[in-house]
Amino acid sequence: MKKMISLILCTILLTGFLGACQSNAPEEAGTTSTAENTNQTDQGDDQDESSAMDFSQHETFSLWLISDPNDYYSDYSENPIVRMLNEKFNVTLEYQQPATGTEADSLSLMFGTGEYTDLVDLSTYTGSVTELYTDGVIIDISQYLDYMPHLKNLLDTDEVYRKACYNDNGQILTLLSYTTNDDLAWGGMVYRRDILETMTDGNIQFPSGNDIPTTIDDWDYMLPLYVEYFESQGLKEYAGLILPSEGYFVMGEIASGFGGPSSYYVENGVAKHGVFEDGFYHYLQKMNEWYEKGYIYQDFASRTNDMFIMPNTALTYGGAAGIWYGLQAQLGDAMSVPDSGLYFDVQPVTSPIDTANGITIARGFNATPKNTSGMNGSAITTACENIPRLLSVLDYMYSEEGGMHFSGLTKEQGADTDPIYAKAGLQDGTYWFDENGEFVYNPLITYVGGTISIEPFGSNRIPSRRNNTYLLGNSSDILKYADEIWMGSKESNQASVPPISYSPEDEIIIKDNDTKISDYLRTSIPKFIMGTMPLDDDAWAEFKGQLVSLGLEENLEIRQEAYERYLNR
Amino acid sequence: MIEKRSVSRVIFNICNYGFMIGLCVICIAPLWHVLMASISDPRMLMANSGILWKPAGNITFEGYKLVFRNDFILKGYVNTLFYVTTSTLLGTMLTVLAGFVLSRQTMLRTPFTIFVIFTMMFSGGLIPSYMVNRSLGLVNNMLSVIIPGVINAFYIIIMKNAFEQLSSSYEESAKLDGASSLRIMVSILMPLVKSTIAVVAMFTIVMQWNAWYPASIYLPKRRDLWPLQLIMREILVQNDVSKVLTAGDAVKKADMVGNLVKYCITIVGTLPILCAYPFAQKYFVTGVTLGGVKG
Repeated sequence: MKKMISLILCTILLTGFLGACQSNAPEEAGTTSTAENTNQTDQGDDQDESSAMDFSQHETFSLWLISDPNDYYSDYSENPIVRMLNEKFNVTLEYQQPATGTEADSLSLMFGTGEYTDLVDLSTYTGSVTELYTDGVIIDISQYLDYMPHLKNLLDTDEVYRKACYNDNGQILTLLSYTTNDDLAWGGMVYRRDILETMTDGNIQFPSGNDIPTTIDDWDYMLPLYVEYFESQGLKEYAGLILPSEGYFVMGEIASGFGGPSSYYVENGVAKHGVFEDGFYHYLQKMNEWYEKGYIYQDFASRTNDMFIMPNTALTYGGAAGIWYGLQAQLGDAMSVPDSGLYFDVQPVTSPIDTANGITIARGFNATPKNTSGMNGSAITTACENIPRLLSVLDYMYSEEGGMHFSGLTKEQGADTDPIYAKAGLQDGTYWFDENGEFVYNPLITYVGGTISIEPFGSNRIPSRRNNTYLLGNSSDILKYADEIWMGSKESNQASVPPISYSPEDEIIIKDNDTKISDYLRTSIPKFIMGTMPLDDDAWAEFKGQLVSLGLEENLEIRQEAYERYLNR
Repeated sequence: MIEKRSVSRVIFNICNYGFMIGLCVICIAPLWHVLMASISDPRMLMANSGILWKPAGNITFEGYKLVFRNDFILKGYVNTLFYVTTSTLLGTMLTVLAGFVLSRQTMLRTPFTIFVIFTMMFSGGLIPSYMVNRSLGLVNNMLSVIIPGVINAFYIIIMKNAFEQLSSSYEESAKLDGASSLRIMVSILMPLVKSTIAVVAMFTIVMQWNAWYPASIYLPKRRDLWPLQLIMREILVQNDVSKVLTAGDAVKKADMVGNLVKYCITIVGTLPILCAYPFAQKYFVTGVTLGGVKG
């Protein structure tokens, strides 16, 4: 009896699996062909259409995006710029937002059920965007550029942006936001200058002769002072320098002073990986030396990591750290607690330049350079029944006027009648132009010392031109100074890998190899630094050999080819 | 009989009490740490390492003020209470009914039991479940949090076993007195398995109180219907205090206040269920073991 039941259950299970396979195949094929047909039909019809769009008929569009609720609204459909667009273009933009942390499930559900919204924000999508197109989920926007004259203008005038938008097949699969200027770097290495002042009686003498630490010799001068200071304070646990648990910063802080970042980059047209270069060998030697001398936090490898690379806030906020990866919000005296007699002077510091090995510059890498923000962008799906209309609405956001909505609304644009603005007391708008035509932020906004964050009132989550000129102009001096230090020089960004794309097959290889390489780096580098694995020429050769066997060279070849395709876009 | 206090007995008692006290401390210490952290000075809290036995710095209720100033959290509380109450009443009632039916000696008992057990081993998966619920009109509907998970096969089995433990003479004598099946179940048998019912109800309460996933899937466009746990999770996961800081004064303070708010939210979300637990404690041992006893 039991055997019979087992057999029946197995049969049901098998039938279910087979049934699912059988029903999916034609459905997928059907979807693709339908999508292709839709594309072809629409493209054929739309090419003859004028770019002037008729907005007399009301339309509703669904949009899926990632956005956090704020104090003023939880549904992005209530965003003042969205409501302005609704009114201006006689549409209803219905937003759908997944709960934070469930983005992947929500997207899988959407793609699995075939219930696509008209626009999908793919900024957290880890799969292949090209595959979404071949599967008939999203459309090629380049076929509809006649409906997007403002976007087209940007594509025609900005080569970097154009190359970022088009893929190697000449398609535009996602709408990328266009930022008019590099955003300020939000973090980088920082050091406690007040401790150095205390230890030298205000007479800091960096060996480089500079006023701020720039070379390895300068760091060799600083680190013992920190250790001496912490020991004189009787601290049991302290850190001259805090490293992340991997032993290196992925974006290249510190390691970039030894020749290159600790990840992929391009130098003189050649794709490279920092850990494969000799500079990284010197980095490991120096870190090992500093660790042995007690300059580096001894338990760094056992700390958990997070996106802000703050492995131990108790040390930094407790006044027991000298150099660490800090954020904008920690600069200056922001961490001081006058009531408790704690005074901090936190200053940005560049990666230490390895002058002994001929290095002259420590490159900085901005996570959000101009022209290419929001790398994956937003895609229009094949479910959209009126693609030209939706794109026409979105195109307004790529105009000069639309780009200003990054800073919100003026009174004349409707701030005085908007309920969200009224709720915040911003009836005069988030900004205005004075009698001289100068841009002025509302004093209530945080950028100019107020208490209201501008984000809920602007268009930062909508694919658009983002005019951040005024935001940068109103940033505090210390943030601008930190940006200069952290970035080293604007030219240094040229070494960042541009938005290259791969075939779905290559993408699988790259991701698979990168996972193995990262795992290996995560386990081996801390051992080199802590000295549990000897570091000499033989060990270095073996380390590189292991990276090759894990596919690093294969990845570099694929990236090199992709980079060359990118140059030819 | 008076127990003789031998040396070995005393040593055993000391070890036993010591061990149990140690175990209690291990269980309570994290909760105490969170409680102390939630009323600590946010700046001093950032500088602290290890378990907090007393608040760091001056005691402040700033974190709680920020939490309760947030409309979403209050709405979430109300929604959660509704979901918990409804699911518990409906779920317990259906579980008792199902357990009673499956414990009766009828021809359909075995196939129905297999059917119930089958659902414990095999499920349709997320996408088919979503499609079914969507076709039933449950997406972006409060019922989507209640209906799909209202009954649990495991609780049915517990309930079924509890009914089966009872002597058949109860039912026979009631039948002789002319009682209907419903009367037998409600008036005769249910009072005898109330500890098991209490356990099922408590399990349902805890499960529904902690549930956030169904709401994240089925209520994508109705944030106003989200339960407290989903709102809490979002705040905790995204490391972002913008939702609770109505006055975003402090770009400088953001990290610190965010840290404090996390502790406060944890207390706010955990305290009610912690308070409810001891009241159901007495039913737990008898209830769970009663359902598990065979033969």
